[in-house]
Amino acid sequence: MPSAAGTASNGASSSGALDAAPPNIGPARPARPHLPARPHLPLGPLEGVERTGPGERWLGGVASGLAVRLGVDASIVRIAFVALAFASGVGVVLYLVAWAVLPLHSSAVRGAARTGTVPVLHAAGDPIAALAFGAVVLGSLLLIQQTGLPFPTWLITMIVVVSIGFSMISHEGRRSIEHALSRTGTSPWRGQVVRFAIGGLFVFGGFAGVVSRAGRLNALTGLFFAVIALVAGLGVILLPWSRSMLRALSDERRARVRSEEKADIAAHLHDSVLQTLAIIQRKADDPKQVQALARRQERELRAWLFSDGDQSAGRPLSIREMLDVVAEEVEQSYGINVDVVLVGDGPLDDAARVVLAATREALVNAGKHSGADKADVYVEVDERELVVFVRDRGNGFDPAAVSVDRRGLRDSIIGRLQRNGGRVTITSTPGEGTEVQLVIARSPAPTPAPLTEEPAGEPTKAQT
Amino acid sequence: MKTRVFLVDDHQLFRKGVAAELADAVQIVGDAADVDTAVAGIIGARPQVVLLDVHLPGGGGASVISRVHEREPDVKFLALSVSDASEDVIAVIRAGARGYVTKTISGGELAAAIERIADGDAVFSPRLAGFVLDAFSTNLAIDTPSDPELDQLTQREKEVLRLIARGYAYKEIARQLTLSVKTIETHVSSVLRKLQLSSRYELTRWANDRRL
Repeated sequence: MPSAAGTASNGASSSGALDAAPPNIGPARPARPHLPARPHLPLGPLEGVERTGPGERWLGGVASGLAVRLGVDASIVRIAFVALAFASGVGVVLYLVAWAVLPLHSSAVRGAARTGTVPVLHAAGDPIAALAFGAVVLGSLLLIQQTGLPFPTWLITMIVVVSIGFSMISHEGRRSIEHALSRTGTSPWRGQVVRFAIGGLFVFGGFAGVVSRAGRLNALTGLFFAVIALVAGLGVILLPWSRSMLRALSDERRARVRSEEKADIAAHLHDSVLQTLAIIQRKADDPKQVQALARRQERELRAWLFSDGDQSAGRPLSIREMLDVVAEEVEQSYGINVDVVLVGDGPLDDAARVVLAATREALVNAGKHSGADKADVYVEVDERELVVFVRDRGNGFDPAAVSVDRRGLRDSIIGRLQRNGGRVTITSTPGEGTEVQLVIARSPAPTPAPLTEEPAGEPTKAQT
Repeated sequence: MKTRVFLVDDHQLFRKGVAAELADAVQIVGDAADVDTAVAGIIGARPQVVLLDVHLPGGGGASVISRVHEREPDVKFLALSVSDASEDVIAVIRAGARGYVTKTISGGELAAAIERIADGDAVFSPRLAGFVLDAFSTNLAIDTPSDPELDQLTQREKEVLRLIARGYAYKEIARQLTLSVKTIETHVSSVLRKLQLSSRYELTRWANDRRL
C-alpha cells in the first residue's frame, strides 16, 4: 500500500512539473491574444490601421485593413500591392513588413481566441516561429541586395512559397489547418502528416529554387547562400516540428502517468473493496460478519487513502480478528487459500501477537515454497496456552537441511518464538507437506486487564 | 451405479458449478433454490444424498432436513456453505445433517465426501471439527441435569477432531494415531451422535448468547 501511495504522489509531482513547463498549446487561454505584445511602433500615417480578421481578408488582412483605413475598396489596395511586387518585389516586402507591424483587429483577436482558429500567417503569437519567419524574410532581402540584381520574379515566388510552407508547419498555421481538417472528418494525426508534408514541400521547394538560381550566379557566393538557405530551410521546418514533438511527448507522458495512477487505484480497489463486496454478498445473511467486513474494509481503505495517517487506531482487537486479517493478507499476497479454524478466542495480547506474526511467516512460506494451493491453520486458545498449527500438503522439505539463508523459518518463526518463551515443532516430509506447530504460554488471567477494547464483563470468563 | 444427488442452494451459479464438477462422479437428480421447492423436489426425486446450503430463503437448511425426514427418513444430508457462524452450522447438524463442508472444497474431495455420506459415515471438515471442539470445550457451570456420556468428548475423540481441524485426512489420522480408518470413522460418527443428541450445545449456545 505505501508503494501504491508512493506512485501516486510521484505521479502528482511529476505531472505538476509538467504543468510548470510552458504550455504553449492552449488556444483558449485568455491571456493569449495579448501575449504577442507588439511594441507600439510609431506608425505615422498608418497609426490606427488594423489588419482584418478571417472572412474579409485574403492573406494576412493587410490590404483589407489598409482599405478600411483609406476608405477605398480592398481590391484596389491588393492590385497596388501586386503591382509593387512586380516592381522589384517592393510590394512583397512592404506587405510583409506591414503584416509584421500592424496589429490584428481586436474583434478578430477575440474571435480567434474564442473559436480556436488563428490567422494562417499570423505567426507573431509564437515568438520563436516569428523570429524564424523574420530571419527567412531578412535573409531573402539580404540575398537580393548582395546579388545586386534587379529583384527577380522567381525570388518573389520563392519567398511566398516558403512563407506559405512555413506558416503551415508553424504552430499557428497548424492549428487552423487541423481545425479545417477536423471539420472534414480527417483525424488529427492524418491532419498533421498532411500539413507537414505540404508545408515541408513548400519550404524545401522554395529554398531549393533559391539555391538552384543562386548557384548559377557566382560559384562562391552561390555556394555560400545555398548553405545558408538550406540550413535556414531545415531550421524553419524542424523548429516548430521539434517543439510540437516535445509538447506531444510531455502530453503523452502526463497521460501515461495519469493512466498508471488509475491502474494502481483500480488494482487496489479490486484487491480490497471489490473482493470485500463479493464476500459481503455471499454473507448477506450474517449481519454481524457483514458489519465486521465493512468496518475492516473501511479501515483499510482509509489507511490506504491517507497512508500518512495514524493506523494504530484501526488495529484489530481479538485473536480471531487478527487471524482473519493475517489469513486474508497472505491469501491476497501469495495466492494460497488459507482455511482458518479457531477454537476459543481471547484478546490480542503480546504472546498472541508474537505467535500470529510467526503464523503469518509460516503461511507465507507455505505460499512461496510449498507449491500447495491451500494451507490449513488451526488455532486453539485456552487459558493456559495458545497453540497454532499451519499445515500444507505441498512439496515438504528436510528441516535439518534448511539452508542458512532461509531466514524466514530460522529468525521469523523459530527465533521469534524462542525469544518469547514459546516453542516450534516442524514436521515435514518431502512430497507430503509440512506442518508447523507453534506453542506459547498465555499470560496468567489478566484480571484488571489493561484492555480497554473489550466490552466489560468479557475478561471474567466463566472458569470453575 | 452412481450416487443420486440433489442440490439445494439459492445461488444458481453455484448449483451449476457444482453440477458440472460432479457430473462424472454422481448423478444429479434435481436442484432447488428455496425451502419449499427443495422439500417437494427431494421427496419427488428420492435422492440418496442432498447437498444443502446452510442459509436458504424460506427457513434455512435445518427446516428442509426436518421436513424431509418426517416423510423420508433415509435421505442423507451434507451441509455445504461458505464460512458461517458455528450456531447455524451446528443447528443444521443437529437437525440431522451427516456432515458439513465449506464451499472451498475441491470437486474431488466433495465427490469423496458424498460417497462417504451415502455409505452412512459422517463427514467433518476442519471447520466443523473446530466448531465442535469449541462447543464442547467451553467450561460451563453444570447446574442443569444432563447426560455426562453425551456431554463430553473422550480424549480420543478430541484427538481425532483436532487432527481433522488441522487439515488431516482420515487416512493420515489413522496413521498418526496408529488406528484403522474404520476406527476413525467410528469416532467421528460418535462425535456426530453426541452433537445431535447432547443438550450441551444448547448450554453453550445459551452461554454464548448471554455473553454477547
